[in-house]
Amino acid sequence: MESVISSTLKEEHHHHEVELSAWPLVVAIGAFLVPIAFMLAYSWAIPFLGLLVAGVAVVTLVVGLFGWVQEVHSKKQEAGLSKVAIIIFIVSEIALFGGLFGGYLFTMLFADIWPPANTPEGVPPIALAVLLTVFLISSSGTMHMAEEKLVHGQVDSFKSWLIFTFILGALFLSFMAFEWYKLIGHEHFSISTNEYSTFFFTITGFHGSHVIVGLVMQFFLIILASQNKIGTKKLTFSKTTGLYWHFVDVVWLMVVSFMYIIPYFKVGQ
Amino acid sequence: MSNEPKGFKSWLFTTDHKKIAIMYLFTALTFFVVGLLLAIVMRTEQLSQTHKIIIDAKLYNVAFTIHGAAMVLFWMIPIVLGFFANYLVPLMIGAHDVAFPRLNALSYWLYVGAGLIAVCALVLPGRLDIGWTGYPPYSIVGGANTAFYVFAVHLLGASSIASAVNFITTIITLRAPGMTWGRLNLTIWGLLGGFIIQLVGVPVLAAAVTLLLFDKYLGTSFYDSFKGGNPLLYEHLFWFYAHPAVYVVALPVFGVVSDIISTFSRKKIYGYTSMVIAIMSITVLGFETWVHHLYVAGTLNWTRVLFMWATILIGVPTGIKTFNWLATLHKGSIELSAPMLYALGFISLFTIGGVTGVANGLLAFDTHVHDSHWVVAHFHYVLALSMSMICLGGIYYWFPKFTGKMYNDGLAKFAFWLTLFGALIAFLPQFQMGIDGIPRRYWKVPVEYTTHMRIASIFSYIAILGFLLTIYNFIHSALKGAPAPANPWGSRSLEWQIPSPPPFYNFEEIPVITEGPYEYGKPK
Amino acid sequence: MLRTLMSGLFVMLALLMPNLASAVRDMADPADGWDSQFRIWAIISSVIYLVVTIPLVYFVVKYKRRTKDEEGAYIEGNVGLEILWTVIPLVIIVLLGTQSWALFNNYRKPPKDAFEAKVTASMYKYEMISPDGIRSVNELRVPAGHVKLNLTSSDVIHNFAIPAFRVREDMVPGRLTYLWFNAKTPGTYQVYCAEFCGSGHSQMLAKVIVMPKPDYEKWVRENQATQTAGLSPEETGKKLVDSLGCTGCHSVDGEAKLGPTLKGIVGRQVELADGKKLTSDDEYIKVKLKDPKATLVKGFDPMMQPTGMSDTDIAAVTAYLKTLK
Ligand code: HEA
Ligand code: HEA
Ligand code: HEC
Ligand code: CUA
Ligand SMILES: [Cu+2]
Repeated sequence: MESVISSTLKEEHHHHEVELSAWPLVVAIGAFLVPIAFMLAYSWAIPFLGLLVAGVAVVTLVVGLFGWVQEVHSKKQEAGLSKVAIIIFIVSEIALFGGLFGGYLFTMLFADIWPPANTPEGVPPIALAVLLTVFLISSSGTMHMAEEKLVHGQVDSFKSWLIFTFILGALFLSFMAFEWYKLIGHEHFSISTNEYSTFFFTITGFHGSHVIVGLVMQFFLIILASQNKIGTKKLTFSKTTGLYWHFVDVVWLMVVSFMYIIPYFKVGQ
Repeated sequence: MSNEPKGFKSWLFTTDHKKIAIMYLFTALTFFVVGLLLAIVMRTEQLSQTHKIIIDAKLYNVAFTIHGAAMVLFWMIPIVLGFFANYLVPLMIGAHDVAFPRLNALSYWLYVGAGLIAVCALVLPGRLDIGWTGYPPYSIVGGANTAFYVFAVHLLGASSIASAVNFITTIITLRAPGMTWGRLNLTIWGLLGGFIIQLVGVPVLAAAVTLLLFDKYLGTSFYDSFKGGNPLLYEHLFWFYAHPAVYVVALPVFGVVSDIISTFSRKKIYGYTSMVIAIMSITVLGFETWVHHLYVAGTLNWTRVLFMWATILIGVPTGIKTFNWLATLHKGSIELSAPMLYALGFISLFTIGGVTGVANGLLAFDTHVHDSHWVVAHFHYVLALSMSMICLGGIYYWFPKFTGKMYNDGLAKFAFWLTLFGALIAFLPQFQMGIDGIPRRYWKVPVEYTTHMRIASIFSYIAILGFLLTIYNFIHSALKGAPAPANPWGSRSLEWQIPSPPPFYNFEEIPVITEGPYEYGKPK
Repeated sequence: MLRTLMSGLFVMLALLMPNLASAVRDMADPADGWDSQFRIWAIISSVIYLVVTIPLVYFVVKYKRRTKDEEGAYIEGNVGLEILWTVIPLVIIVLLGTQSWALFNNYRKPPKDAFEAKVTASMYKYEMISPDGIRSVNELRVPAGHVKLNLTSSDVIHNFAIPAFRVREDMVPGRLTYLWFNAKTPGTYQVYCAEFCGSGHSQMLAKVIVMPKPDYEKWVRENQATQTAGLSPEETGKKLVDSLGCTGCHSVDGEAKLGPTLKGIVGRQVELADGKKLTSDDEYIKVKLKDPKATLVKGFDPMMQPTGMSDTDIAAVTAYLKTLK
């Protein structure tokens, strides 16, 4: 039987490294501990132990991811596949938010009045939303600047722009936390108030958790830049982070329209 | 070249796709056995319709919950998208490994973590008795620790999304030179379809169960209609993923069947292009049919009608594949080896499962048989008899490749007939019960059906016996079988052109592909 | 042989036509409509099965490999054939779907003259309120003829399935669904719950009793008059316990079912889920019936629902429970 392969064309010899890595296992253990912590606190009512395990989980996750990123970036070459991968991943993130917004619309469209009557006066806090939007949109701009700099090899200004982006993102999160604090503490509008609050906190919370992931990526990127492990030949991680960050931004625009602007008009009241 | 790592660590810390595949195989088989044990328990309980034999109603509910979850989430999907995908994708597209070997290892370990939680759900207090579908409000107000369910799905979901990103990237970017889209094995096309479904579907499932968690533990009201929510929202979100999930399994399996049939007929797959179109159209159409699980759930009438059409339309692309398989056999050179037996058995059994699926899909038909034993019989015909059986066939087919040993052919065929005989009859009485309207998930059914249930039990024992023989064959042959040549079947597909088992690097250098995988009997 | 395969496909089509005609005739009553739909489906599917398996076996025998190196013929495909086996299944699907759609419309359009009643499900019983205001549990009496039931649930999702009339529909908490059927012949028909709802799911059985119209009216008159009048509190209590479905979860003979037995309930020591111990008395029973979640008994699932009984009814139930020694 003849072969379907012709071996005439010689490829550049491919160095397939012997890959053993402990980090995936470490990260998986960290991820596994998160549910255990939750169940300890909620299902079995041992909040103290739950908190402890949650702490261990976070440390394990951070160590695992850190080791992972370092290991990957100590290699000489990179294949640049993450750019394709992040786009594919974003498709799945779109599905996630699609599901959540779908659920929200499903509930909203079947209701006669929206938001429900027992929603406090000052909700949604539209002024704060504008501020949050300013933070996030401008951080998309600074992220773009950072990427531009890296393409031209200016690692130092890349780092500065990146830190700027990080600060804007962190500001966003802090003001979001402040908003939640005000809503829950002063307006008595909490996740269990009504079906609007239920979706409000869930969807803004989901979005916030994505901001955190984006910030973690930026954090690692800043470290790698300081270690000079990133440059014109190693753009992938920065590209990936950039794309993800812009995506998180776009989602925010959806969050603002659905969770703030539409309820602001108090349909049916 | 021989710096291949050895020993314990080489498994624990491995990022090699072939090793990860083998680990998936063992883990998935473990859950399959867990599922089977629970099936035996349920079938034994069903020997009597008047007395408790071994478990009470509550434990019966736990049994089918974990049985269903183990079988679908921890056996079917991982064996296909874990084992087959990991082993075959790099070999079939001509790559050294997947795009992100570390991420691949992470996927595996997350799956193990999810499995541990599922086992807890079976043994710890707060046992899951909510059905594998986990419908609220029962999963919220009942006594079960729904968190088990939610977190198992979360970890599994993270694992699936990571795999999907990894493998779609691999298939797009790492195809060897000359490996055009038109030269991919149909198995690769099927896997691609499966991964796309995972990518889009799993996040929605994750969202659905997260809201369940919030409702149960944080006092939200997503699914609580007395507080403005709607339990049907869960059903929509759940089935948006869980219906396409059956095609996550089915599409790669269609590919495996095609590969086996082509190899053992030594004939080009009939209508390759229409096969690819059929696979991809099911990938898309699969997402427009979920409401067929909610036909009698109180959804709006027009949505039911809309989704009926989408549902039964799936029969068309599936039919195309069936007839193309038949046409591939026509004028072939057919060898009735064990994998081929499984593939042919698949076609025959899947047709039964499929046409009963179309019956479910017919809106008015389902108004009488929804959640009856008819449905149980339908999905065991597709899932247990067709899909699981052909996974077995696939394992036989590639057995020489990944173990380097030949299996015992006579025993393989005997076990095939035994399993087939048992399983085929085991689920027939349930069709009758379904037509009579007897609901599923009943600890005890009306006594008139004692005989039906006993027949089902006894023949399922026979099926399981056959399965044990198969397992014995696998283990015995892997240890003591005769050494396998590189290409025992005379296949044209890429994975058979390298030694058995493949060397650590798969290909010494990336091959250049000049021909598709099915070019048998090509005139010179 | 491929030609044979094709003629098989055409036979399927030919078979479908006359059957569809007869289906339209049966459409008036959904139950008959269902039966004819099943018949058509069964015939078509059997033919499909044969069209697949006969060539399969035939090819395997005919084209068995003869020499070791033999290869099959080199055939890429045939667009014409492929289109054909796309179009024929499509036509079959469209015909089956159209018939089902028509039948479904029947299912969803209750006749105007239908007798109408409301059924509320809860774990694990059905409670019906007839248009005349008579409440009954698990025995639903209706007059012969067209019947429409409005369905809802007070706890989890249940289902109301009457196989004899080929109908079932879910009962969703907080929402109203409906079904209708044609109760042609008087008799007793089995009702099942066909949506998983917990430990009592398989015991959630009820009967629909179809009575000739005059009998039904007589029954209404008798029941309106005698519901509980003239009974002692103990007797009233027994009637309530039997009719409210308590015995679905509680025995009166000492055996634990889904809940603790009611035998000797008043005056016995109770251990609650939160560890408290107390002695059961009138007040405890009252709380249990009004707000069961307030005092959960250890070792059982919190599945009992508030009963919504009046204080007099509760007193009667308590009086009855005291007799269970
Ligand atoms: C791998 C698994 C798998 C597969 C492939 C399928 C395939 C199909 N399924 Fe199935 N299904 C399940 C697994 C699967 N199902 C499970 C697990 C459940 C229950 C879940 C639960 O509630 O727990 C379920 C339940 C289920 C329901 C809900 C029933 C209910 O609860 O009331 C419905 C309703 O429409 C349905 C329909 C279909 C259809 C139309 C197909 C089609 O894809 C079939 C297409 C195939 C063919 C038609 C055969 C080949 C075609 C030809 C030979 C051509 C000629 C044919 C015609 C012209 C008709 N399925
Ligand atoms: C892949 C999926 C799968 C498989 C294989 C099975 C296999 C079996 N199942 Fe199960 N079953 C489900 C999926 C599956 N089931 C689901 C989703 C539910 C619904 C749960 C719910 O309601 O929530 C269910 C529910 C269910 C019930 C509950 C019904 C009810 O009361 O509502 C019962 C009752 O007896 C049952 C029995 C069996 C039996 C006897 C077998 C087997 O013993 C059948 C016999 C077949 C074999 C023994 C061998 C088949 C061969 C292989 C699988 C290949 C092996 C591969 C390798 C070795 C590599 N199943
Ligand atoms: C869905 C099943 C169910 C139904 C129906 C039900 N109960 Fe219960 N009941 C339970 C369960 C389970 C418990 C124990 C857990 C708890 O305390 O809630 C219980 C507890 C009780 C107790 C306390 C028992 C003890 O040992 O202290 C009383 C009294 C009682 N039920 C009376 C009734 C009466 C009267 C009715 C009918 C109006 C009824 N129940 C209907 C499930 C049910
Ligand atoms: Cu009520 Cu099942
Ligand atoms: Cu489905």
